[in-house]
Amino acid sequence: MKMDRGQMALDQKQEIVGNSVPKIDASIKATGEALFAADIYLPGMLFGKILRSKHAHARILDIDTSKAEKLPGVKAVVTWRDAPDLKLGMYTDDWQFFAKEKVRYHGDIVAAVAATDIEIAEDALALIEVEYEELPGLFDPQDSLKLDAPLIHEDRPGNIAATRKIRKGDVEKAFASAEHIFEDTYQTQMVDHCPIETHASVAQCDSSGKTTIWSSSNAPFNNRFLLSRGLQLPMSKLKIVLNNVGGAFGGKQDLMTEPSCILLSKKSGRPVKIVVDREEEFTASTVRHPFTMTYKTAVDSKGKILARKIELIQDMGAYNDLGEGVLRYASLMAAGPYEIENVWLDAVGVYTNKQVGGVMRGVGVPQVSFAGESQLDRIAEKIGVDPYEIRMINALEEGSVTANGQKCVGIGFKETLKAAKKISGYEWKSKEKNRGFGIASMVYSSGAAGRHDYSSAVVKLNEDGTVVVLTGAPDVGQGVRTTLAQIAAQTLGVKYENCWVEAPNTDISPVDMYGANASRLTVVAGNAVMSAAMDAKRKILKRASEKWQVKEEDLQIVQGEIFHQGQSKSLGFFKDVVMEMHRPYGQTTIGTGDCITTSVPMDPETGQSEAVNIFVFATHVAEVEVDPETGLVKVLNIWAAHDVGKSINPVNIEGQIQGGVQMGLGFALTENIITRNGKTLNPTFLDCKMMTAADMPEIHPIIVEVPEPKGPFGARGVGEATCIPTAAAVANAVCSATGTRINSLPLSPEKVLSSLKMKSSGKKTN
Amino acid sequence: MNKNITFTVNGEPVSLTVEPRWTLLRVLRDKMFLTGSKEGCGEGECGSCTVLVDGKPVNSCLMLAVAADGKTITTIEGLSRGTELHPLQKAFIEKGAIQCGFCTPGMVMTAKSLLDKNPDASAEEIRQEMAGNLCRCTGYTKIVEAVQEVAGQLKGGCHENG
Repeated sequence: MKMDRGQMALDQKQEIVGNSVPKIDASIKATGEALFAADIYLPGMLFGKILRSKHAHARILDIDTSKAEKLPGVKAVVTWRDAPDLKLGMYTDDWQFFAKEKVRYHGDIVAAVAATDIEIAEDALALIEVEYEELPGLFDPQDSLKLDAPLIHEDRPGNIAATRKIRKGDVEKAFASAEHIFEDTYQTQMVDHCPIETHASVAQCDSSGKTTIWSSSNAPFNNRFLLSRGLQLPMSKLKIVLNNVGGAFGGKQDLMTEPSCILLSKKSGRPVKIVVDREEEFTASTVRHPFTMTYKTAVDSKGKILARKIELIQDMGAYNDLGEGVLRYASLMAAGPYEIENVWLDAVGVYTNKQVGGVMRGVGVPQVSFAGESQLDRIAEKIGVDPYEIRMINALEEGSVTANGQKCVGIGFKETLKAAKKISGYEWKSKEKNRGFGIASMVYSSGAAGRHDYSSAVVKLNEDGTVVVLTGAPDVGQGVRTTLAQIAAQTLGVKYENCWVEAPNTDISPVDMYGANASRLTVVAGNAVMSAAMDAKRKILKRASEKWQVKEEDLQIVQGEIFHQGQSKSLGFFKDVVMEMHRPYGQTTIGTGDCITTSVPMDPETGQSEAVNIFVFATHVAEVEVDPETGLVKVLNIWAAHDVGKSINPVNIEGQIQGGVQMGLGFALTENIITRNGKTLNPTFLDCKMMTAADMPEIHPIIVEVPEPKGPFGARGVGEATCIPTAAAVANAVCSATGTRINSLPLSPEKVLSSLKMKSSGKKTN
Repeated sequence: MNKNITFTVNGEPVSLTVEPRWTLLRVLRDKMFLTGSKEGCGEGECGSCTVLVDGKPVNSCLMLAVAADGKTITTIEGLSRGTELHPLQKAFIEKGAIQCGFCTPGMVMTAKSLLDKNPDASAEEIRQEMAGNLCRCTGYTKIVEAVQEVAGQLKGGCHENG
């Protein structure tokens, strides 16, 4: 069914929804009982390791595995010869599970080994002989775009992986008469998702042809689709089971281990476990795409944005994977959360022989947010308008039309700006030396943008009146199982403690298309669960109305008891009616529900369409102190105001915001995967540093609630938005503190110091 | 050459034959199936494998199993008594300090060692002591709050059961 029941939901009592109930899986995680994929041990299980490419770009002449196979303890070695010979991908079929003719980056899988011990598997990798013919590598999208550049994929002319356009109004006309025009180029770096749990899976193929995979995935149905195609196995033979997932942030739908595990298990006849190590995670998993972004913006003297012309170049890495989706998101949100009459955008995703970009929290929007919001601050400074005011002047509001031509309904952007300013005590110009405030905002989508998005749910009532929810929604730590339990309990009128949400198992759970991505689960899976709970409730109330000879519509269920309208004494217990369905009717009460969003694809020539499912807005304010001697940026405070629609579990949302800001600060200041000729030079937490407890400033979550008509109980998803505006807010604060602006991330001490030196020597900084 | 080692794990004496290259974490997880201790990096940088060795926090991924001979080890599995959770575990749950839960066992063990030696640790001391335990989900705020909560209880005379 379509999502049109928001108002109905809002009218309901909200005792469970809106409360910070403890997470349903918190206690087993506190005790260490919670099983993650790497914690699965099966009888006879082998341990696998993956051999990856030695080169960034090379032809494979020969792979000789005979020596490895002879090593005692080795039970199977697999290469491309063991898999169907085909390429596949989510957008473009350009990637083979095992490299055949060519390797295109250092992470390409060449072979995999399973042995009785992990050390034997490691030793066996060294015995696999691969003969390569090195090819010239491309490590900068600008080089890949040159006319005489070699082709990374022979069937992809110009090394172009994807393109996207937006055309709204007439930018050139606006530029011709504008009072002020600004043009700047910005760059962002490669960073990794860095879940503390690395990718892992265990596969068991049995003699019936059934394969069970215990995986660390954040999108099991997505994985099943690709595995089914790539291994030419019917979906009924592939069961993906999730237990607990140790963080994902968009990165765990990469099939980093599963194809190797499955083929090794099939060949050896034994279960196989593969856990990638941290170096592999840093060098071979997907990353956030580096972007180069040129923004040309015209404003009038009051700060009203008249036109924005934007060019985006995305460093795709060796394969398209989900990069095309990232380019779509970046394009949709590039103009920022502002109403601009004239917008022109050309975006291109370009193949290089580097790590593959995937979706990472924010899907291209942290990049464009850094560019657009940095430039907006520069404009404000130049024309003498407070950066807060310039955002208020241009902010999208009720009825505004976005760059993709979509009308905004039920949005709370200005509320986030006002709340962030008020609570932070933001000042345009700090009175203290070397200190400054910075403000930045963002727009995002809850639910996949530009494609249909759907999820289904089953609500099953046990004989004792307790509830089991079946959903494909993966809990990767964001707490979706708790959210869905709250939604089910609230909708049915039963206690939260009596609702269990089972983790996904693709044989049992109904389909959830994209998993923990696109800030979609609260809304899409949430609506599906709500609809399934209503279906189950209707069945119980029908039986209750027959039993007590009252009208169904006059009945309500509160805290597990059934009441007749206007009466304070209950007619009886919910659980007793559930039991009466079992005996004498022999029926298990099952409710089913689903949700499909109304997002439609962007027009390829103009980008115009109702692409965004639900708009999400946020504003961050950063307060920093810069050490002029060392260039070190110390962030003192972050205030993060998010319009969440309705906070289903306030403590969970605060935690999401605080964690998202940690990721945003790493992007702003310290995280940077450095590559030379496609090889990663710093694949460790020491050298590619994320923020520790000692580094983190005070984070002040500010929850704004402007109800979303399409969300369950008015909620919208905010998992990704939390990390998006942070980097721009910090960059703007650094500029406010020092008077110098840095147009590339991260804002390392070296860059800050060099910009300070250039400023004192009177040179223009960039 | 393999070596026999004898040590105490969560109060139980254990004798094992180990390969010289095995780490303590490898033995705890792969040989004793104490999977609460996690491997997040294998290089002593993330702290997910933190256990207590003679009461001190140690990255068990960096300690060779042979070096554990004669030692007393406490893992996350040894912290709760039956179904009765340690105050730190309760505080982590109540304060919302757990998201994905992968770093949680290491965080709890480091926090326990801190409060054992400094029962009324300040927020700043907690942040410094726990800087060796990485978390990608929470931003640490609620973890620090949870540890502070227990530090407050200890200061107020609440008896710790771990």
